[in-house]
Amino acid sequence: MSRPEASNSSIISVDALEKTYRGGSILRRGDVHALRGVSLSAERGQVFGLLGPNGAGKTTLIKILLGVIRSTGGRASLFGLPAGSAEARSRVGYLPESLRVDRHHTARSALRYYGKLSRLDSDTISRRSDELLSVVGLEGRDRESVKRFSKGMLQRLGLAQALMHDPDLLILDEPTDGLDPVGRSEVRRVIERLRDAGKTIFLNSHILHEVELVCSHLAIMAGGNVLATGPIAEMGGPSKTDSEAVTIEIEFELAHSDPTATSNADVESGVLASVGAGAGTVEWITDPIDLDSNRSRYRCRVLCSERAAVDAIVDRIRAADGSLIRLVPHRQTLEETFMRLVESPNPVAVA
Amino acid sequence: MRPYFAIISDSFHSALASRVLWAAFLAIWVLLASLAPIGIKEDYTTSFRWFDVYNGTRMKALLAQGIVDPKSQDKAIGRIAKAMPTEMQRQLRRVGEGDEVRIRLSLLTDALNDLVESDATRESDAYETPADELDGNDSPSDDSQADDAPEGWYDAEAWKDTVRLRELRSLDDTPDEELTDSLLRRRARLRLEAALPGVFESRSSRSVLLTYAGLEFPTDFQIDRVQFETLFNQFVIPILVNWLLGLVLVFLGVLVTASIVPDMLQTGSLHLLLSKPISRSALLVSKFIGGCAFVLLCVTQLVLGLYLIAALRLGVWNTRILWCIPVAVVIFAVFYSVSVLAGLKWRSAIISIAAAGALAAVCMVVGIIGGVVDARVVAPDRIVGMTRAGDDLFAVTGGSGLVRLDAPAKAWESLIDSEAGSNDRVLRPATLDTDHVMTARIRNGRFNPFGSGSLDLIVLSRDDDWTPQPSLRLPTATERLIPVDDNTVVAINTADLLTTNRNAILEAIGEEASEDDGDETSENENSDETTKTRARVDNSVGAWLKALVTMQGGATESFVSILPSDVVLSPPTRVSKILDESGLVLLTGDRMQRLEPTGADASGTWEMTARVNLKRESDRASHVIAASPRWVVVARGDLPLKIYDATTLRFVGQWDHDERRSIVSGTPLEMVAISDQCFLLRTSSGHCDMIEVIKNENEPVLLETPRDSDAAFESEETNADNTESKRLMTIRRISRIPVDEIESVYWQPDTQGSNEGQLFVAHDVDRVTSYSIAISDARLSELSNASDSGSAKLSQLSTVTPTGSVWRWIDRYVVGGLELFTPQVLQLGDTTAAMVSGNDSLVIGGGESGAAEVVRYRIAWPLLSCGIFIAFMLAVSCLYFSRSDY
Repeated sequence: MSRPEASNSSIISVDALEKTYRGGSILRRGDVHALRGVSLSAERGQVFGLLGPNGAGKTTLIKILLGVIRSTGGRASLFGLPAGSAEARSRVGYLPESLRVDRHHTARSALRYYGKLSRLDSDTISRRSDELLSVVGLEGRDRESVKRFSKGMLQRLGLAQALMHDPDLLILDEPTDGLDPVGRSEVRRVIERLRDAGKTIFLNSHILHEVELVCSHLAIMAGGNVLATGPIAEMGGPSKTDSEAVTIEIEFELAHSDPTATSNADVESGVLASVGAGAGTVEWITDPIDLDSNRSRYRCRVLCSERAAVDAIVDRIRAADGSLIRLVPHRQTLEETFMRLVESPNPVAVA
Repeated sequence: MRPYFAIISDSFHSALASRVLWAAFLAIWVLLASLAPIGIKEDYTTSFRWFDVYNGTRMKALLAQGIVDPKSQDKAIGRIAKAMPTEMQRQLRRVGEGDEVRIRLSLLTDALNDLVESDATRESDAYETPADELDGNDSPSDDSQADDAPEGWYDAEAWKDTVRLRELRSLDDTPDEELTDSLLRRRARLRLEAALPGVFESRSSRSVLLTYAGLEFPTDFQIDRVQFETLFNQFVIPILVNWLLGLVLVFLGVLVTASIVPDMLQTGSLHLLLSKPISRSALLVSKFIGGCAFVLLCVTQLVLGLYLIAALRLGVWNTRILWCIPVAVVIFAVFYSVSVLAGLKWRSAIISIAAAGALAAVCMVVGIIGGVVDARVVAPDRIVGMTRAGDDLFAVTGGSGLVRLDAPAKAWESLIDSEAGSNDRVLRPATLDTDHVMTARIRNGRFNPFGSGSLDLIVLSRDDDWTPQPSLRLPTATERLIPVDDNTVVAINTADLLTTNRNAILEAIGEEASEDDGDETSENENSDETTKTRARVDNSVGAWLKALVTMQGGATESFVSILPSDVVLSPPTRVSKILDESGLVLLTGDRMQRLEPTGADASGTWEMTARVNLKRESDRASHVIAASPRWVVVARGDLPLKIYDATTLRFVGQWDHDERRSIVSGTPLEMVAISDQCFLLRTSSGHCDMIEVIKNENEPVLLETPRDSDAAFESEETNADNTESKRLMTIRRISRIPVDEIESVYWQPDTQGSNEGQLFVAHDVDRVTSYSIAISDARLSELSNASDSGSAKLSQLSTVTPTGSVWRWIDRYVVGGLELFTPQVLQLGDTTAAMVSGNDSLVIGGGESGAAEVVRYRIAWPLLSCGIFIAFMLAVSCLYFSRSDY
């Protein structure tokens, strides 16, 4: 796995970060290694998604970035400042996974409280409160006790408090967790607006679709390691780590090679022979469609070990008097990539 | 600081949102509303209560004498006795006949109250009835009629022989029609007091009665205003702080605030807080302060309410009550600091509350252990009075024991065993000569001057290895023994001053007086005088009356009354022997008198040579008095130290209270004259200071020529020790004896008239340090002034630290260790008492009957202990919070 170097514009820079929770046993049998040398970096203006299954170490990483817990190895910095320092924290807005606001607050008093904790003066708090209540759609309900707030309203209030001091970095921990589709959409729209405003956002989420929709960059974590990190556009790449290998989706028409064949398997093996591909390298996407008594249309995904093999397949189809309907390189979905990486024993650097 | 104020404010608002808080508020308002109708009503002190009676036996005996002695029939006591209810008269007759009859004090005071009522009613009805009915002489002696109509007991002629207070004389001189009912009752009471001298304790002329919504309390709770304020400030408020604030409100506060820290630690709350640019320690401390601020709100409401009720309803405008607020918050902070740490560790409000409860239990247990050990182990060993015979030092202990210091062995040798909680009273030992010490042990005499059983003088002789031996029969209710010269000992009791001589004392234990002790002639003279006096007693009243006289505290076989006929003891009484002279200064019932033997022999007759009426003060603390050949210095509670000319008893100056308190704190407990000008002043703060009478530079008027005694009487009668008088003299402190926790001092001049001597100081329970004090001639000068310095030389001679018992070791190291590591929460009640009352100590009792019980309020140490504990717990909490992963 390659270790990304932090550039001068790095907002978040994590290098070989480790965290071990002591189990209490003298022999350290119960120790839990939450982070095992995590490295990543996020640049200014990025919406950086952190993806991983439960127990991957995502929340631990965020806690270290915020100074809530201390690392046991490696280095983490925000804005070039040690992660957890008061200076670094003063430039961070944070929305915790399940925000808890004391029941005696209203939305406005909560914003005033958190604004004061961020060392804002009263005038600024008042001005920003008006702006942000409007941004998150809580205007008109700012005098209501938070006891009456729905989960979505609380999350929006959380977003507002995170933005009170106009932070350079926004860390959002599962911002849409537990929200209904409307709530998710509302929160997503706020994030998109912030993204468009050029804020750097570090987002931790389970929801792949959401990450795909809002993130520009991504890190996939599992077992305390970063399995892949890079631009989200590059996350759906080749199916193997070997850069020469390529998967293609091909649709073609072909005359029956053996008109006496009765089973599909026989037909497919005949077709494979025609295109010159091994049995293990082909994944049929749809069943053959018979166009007439002699010709059928086939659609399959073929793993080619090298680019020359693609040409060879085209040649063979043509040679077998086949007709090439469509040939495109196959890209994996984020979910496929995620599942593949999580199940893979070795970490992969995407970018 | 803005973020931290925000956290404090948020914690406060969080607590304010609690329903428990509003329940607490409601409880406070209900309490204040229920207390608000309490009020006081001030009126003349007219009725007698049982606790007004200082000497019940004497009252019984006087009334019995009034019944059975024919010569007393037409005297005041006779008329009073005759006016008593039939059953009471019957019992008093039996007393007079020598029977052992127990009459409850409350019955006697009820009977007297009936007399007060009847007299006042009779006088008020007099305007409507024939004048001859006013004279009660012809009131029937028939018992039944006397029972039904106890009126007409007063007769001006009969009361002529009594010593009447100025207030009574004034009332007697006022026409009845000008007196209100209250004043008529007051006059009747004063007439009864005058007829029964030495029976009642001196009381303020006005009393306060507690009322509720305008109705008088149906209790016999009637005290004067000063007593009421003392009671309120020193008992009611500390009890309120200890129980209402210390227990109820503090634990209510813990209940409400216990969830603040666990709530803060909840994930969604804590991570957000920790993501803010604030320090973790400051965050925790802010949360802590926020919790305390909540309690502050509750306590402030309660205390302010109490203050306003005290001020508006009871007339006690004591802003020091407000000190209860910070003290209560400190008490809460102690428990809350533990609650915070437990909350951090276990993140549970219930465990936080349990931890605070556990601390309270520990504090209570340690407090109880400390109290029990102090009462059972330390107090009985405390030295409360000393004397010296030859090189041997004797002391009376708090456990009513008598001990002798065995300096080489560093131990107190017990001569009369001390006993924790003893009801006995051992008189302060007095030195008869270098080989004999005398004292007395009064069984059950701690709270009753008469005690029970016979009272014998106890003499300890060097030849008998200081074994206590019974000697002469002492007068009843003897309170103190004072050797006035080499041959004469004065015994003071509640009603008389009586003397005996050394030879009689020694003969009673089977020893012959040495030739040095007195020549044959004087001994014979003494014996003759004793016989004469005895005969005087025997002849004046019958043998049956003699018992009554003895019962009243009068002369016995060996003790002869020396009290001049124009002097009446009215408790409380203080007596001081004039340094290097045989005379005594007697202070009784706000009247100070100088008594001197008429001849060279002090065991003969005595006369009063000077007298002054002291101004009746609101402070009813016991007087402390010391007399040098030049000056008499009188101290009383928080009043200024007053200086009188020792010869004329003319007021010559004072040491103002504020000035004195800034230099010598505490209530004066004991004063000893060590030279013409110099005195030792021991106070309740546990210090002893050497003070000196000097010229008052601010009043440059030369001393006037002393006037003759009669003129002085008149002058002082009218002018008393008026503060408008010239303050020619004042007092300054020369030095402080360099030990604390002083229990008692004993001054022994090297020789009579010497300017040098040894001072023995008992301190720290039973340690003894001796000092040599030499006073220069310059200081002895009458014209010595404030510019003199360094002429009194104080040098330490030795210190003896007795090896204590195992229990004392346990008290010092085990209990002391426990107390050191436990916050002194319970002792904060003392701190409150001190702050509210403005005194660092409370003096209970005192007077000639025994050492005053001093409760020293520890102000600094409990606060320091609690402060250290809070700081430690917060430091541990902050460290834990800072280093923990969440």
